[in-house]
Amino acid sequence: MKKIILTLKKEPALPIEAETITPENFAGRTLDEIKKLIVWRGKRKEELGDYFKVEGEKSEEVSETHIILKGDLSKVKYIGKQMATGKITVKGNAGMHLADEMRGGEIVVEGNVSDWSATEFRNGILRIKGNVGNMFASAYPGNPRGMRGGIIVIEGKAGNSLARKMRRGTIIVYDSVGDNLAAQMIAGTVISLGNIGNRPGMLMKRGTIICFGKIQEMLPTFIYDNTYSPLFIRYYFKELREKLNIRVPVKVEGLYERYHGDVSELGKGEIFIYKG
Amino acid sequence: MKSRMIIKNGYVYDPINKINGEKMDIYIENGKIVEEFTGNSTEIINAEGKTVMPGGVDIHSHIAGKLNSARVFRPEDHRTDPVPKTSVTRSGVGYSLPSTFVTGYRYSAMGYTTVFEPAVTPLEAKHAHEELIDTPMIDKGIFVCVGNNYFVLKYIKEGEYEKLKHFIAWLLKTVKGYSLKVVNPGGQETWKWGKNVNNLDDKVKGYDITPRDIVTNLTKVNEELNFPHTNHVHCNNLGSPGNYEVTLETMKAVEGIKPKKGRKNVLHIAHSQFNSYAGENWGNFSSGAAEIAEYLNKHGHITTCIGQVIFTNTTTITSDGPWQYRLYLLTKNKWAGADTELETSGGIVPYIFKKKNPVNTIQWAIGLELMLLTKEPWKVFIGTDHPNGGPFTFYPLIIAWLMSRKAREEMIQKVHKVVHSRTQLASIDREYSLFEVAVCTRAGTAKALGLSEKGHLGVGADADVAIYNLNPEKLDRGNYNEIIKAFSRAAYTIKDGEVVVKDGEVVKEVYGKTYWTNFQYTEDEELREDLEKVFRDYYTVSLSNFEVPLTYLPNNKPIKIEVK
Repeated sequence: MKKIILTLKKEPALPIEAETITPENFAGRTLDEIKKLIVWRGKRKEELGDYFKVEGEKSEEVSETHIILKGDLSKVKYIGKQMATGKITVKGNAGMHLADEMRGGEIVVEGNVSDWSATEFRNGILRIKGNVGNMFASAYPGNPRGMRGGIIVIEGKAGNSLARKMRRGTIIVYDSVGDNLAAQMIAGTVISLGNIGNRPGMLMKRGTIICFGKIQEMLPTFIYDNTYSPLFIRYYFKELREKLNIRVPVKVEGLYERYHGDVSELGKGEIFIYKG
Repeated sequence: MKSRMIIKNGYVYDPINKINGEKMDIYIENGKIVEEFTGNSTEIINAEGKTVMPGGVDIHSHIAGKLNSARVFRPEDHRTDPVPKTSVTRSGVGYSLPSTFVTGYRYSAMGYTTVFEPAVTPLEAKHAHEELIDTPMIDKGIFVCVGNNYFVLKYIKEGEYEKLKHFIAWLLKTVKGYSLKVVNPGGQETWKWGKNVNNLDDKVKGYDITPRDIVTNLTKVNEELNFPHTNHVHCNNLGSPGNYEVTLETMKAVEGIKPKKGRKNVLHIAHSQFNSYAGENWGNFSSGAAEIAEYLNKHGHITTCIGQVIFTNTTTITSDGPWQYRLYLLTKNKWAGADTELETSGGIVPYIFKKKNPVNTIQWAIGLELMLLTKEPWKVFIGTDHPNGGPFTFYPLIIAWLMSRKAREEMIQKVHKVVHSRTQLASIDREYSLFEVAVCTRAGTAKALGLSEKGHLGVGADADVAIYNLNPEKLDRGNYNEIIKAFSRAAYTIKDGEVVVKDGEVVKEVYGKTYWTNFQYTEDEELREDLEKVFRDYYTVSLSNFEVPLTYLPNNKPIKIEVK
């Protein structure tokens, strides 16, 4: 892969909207042309070169483009918006709306990610080494569907309203998850290795939530079924490990409590709580 | 504004004055069309090789009133269509529920200069006028929903015809409305008990009357009060298979009513596409457009707008509460419902019309069938019942479908195959001429609305002119994209003698007039007592706060009507 390295010169005073940072926009452009790409500061048009030092080599193929961002980018929004292929690595924190409506490719963030990221995520792989904010992988207000596919691995904590209105795909959180996880979920899978906050699966129709820690408060609209060892969970983790090389650091063999709900909706959702 | 202008050498289409594509000059002075003037003009517009028409007049487009609730309800609709500000225009958002300013700009860019909001609840009239204040570029007016009003039903039940007349005159004057609108007569009242009326002779719950009584009485009142526009009816059973029979019944019910002096028609059927369905259920759903068109061809007392369906993601908003609830059950989409005190109900449901859906395909075909099978364009007008069938910005596409058989055939290839078996659209050869397009988008609608100074370019008319980049002598119907382009972006739109749009871009922001009917009558004591009592006991606003003061209509044009 051809690497293009962007180093933040200094942290912007106001957040900037850098939706031009995608492999699609960088491929086929020389470094000078990349510097001229537009970023928005409020209503003002500015150039990428005003904020970043651009190095590396020109890439012709979108899928062969690897963008590396260095510095604390917590005030840089919309990195990788609607990207479909290629790779972005953020060596540091990333701002709001990272991987907005992402359609494919891969993004790796080594720091933390702010709120409203991976919104309406469609496909691809997103790996975050740090924590993520609220409304992660959720739907924009009014839209009937949130995340629609792809795989997200969060190695830190996740905030509130994770995976709201999720339709398809997998989210794995290594640490704890906040309140209102997977509210109005239509389908999909969310796995948390840590604790889960209040009311997970509120108004969910279908879908699976697997918890290896404790759930702070379950809704009364979830009904306890039984405690057993579901085979599919072991297969699920095996598949992740062998096909996608995602090694989840947890022991999955054992008994799980199964609840189904939300019975005020369709009631085909399920919550598994690991009991050892 | 007080300038003089000449539009030179354009091909003029002015159906009211029987001008069909003649090359001529139009003279404008002080915002009006004049015969000719001598001396200098400040502006000369060269319309060589272009089509010149009167400014477009839309008879039925929801641009104020309930719209704000729908805007709040659908943030996802705005996110996809932001409109940045320019040096002249304000910013906003668009698509199926454009913000007020964007509504004005987009209409103007298409060469439209007059638009009527067809369903305002009396209690919401203040709000509707507030929205219209902020709708630039166009002249406007509101129709007031009366078909399920407590007073109307009560006076019909009691046989108090004179009181009904007085009430209508009082109401329209009080809320500054232009015309009457009847939505699902009796159905919304019955909906308060969770039921609906299905045909003209069902009983309205709580009143011993039928929808037939409501329609005929209000149509009679409309004619006797000399309203400029006819009664504007959204029929019962809208959106249900087999409802074309109710539509025919409604049209037959008003056959005997004597029209006011100077016109032949007594009833306008709104968005008739949604009311021209045959079949008994969604399985054998088919087109009933031929029956409706046949009736329209034989009779002269009806006008209609089609409410064409566009394959897009749109929002349905109507006062027809029971229908919106049914649509919600059909689509499982989100739904907002309302019951406005003693007046009407309402509902909002987002809807996506899909090409591969057989019902949507038939709906699409019905709209075009109505346009193409009705021989006279003076009876049937273009519209999408914005935003119910699709946003108004798709009018140019409808014009292209009407003008070009090739455009229709290409669309037929893309839609569900039921278009061949359950509609006759594929077998219709007719193609609209530019003259006919001018009728069904401006001349016909202006005439139906009773606007004498709109929809034509004769002496004394308002100087609202649209100039399109379309050369009638080189018109190539096969290349229909040119037609769409021309009608989407007018070369010039002239409003009251000023150029407001050039090459599809707004170059000047102007604010139009609001029309309303100002009835002159002597007050009826008994009616006043009734009003005071009902407002005191049941309304959430007092009678004195119910009136829309003229400060809500900064630029208004009253139409004075004497009532004996």
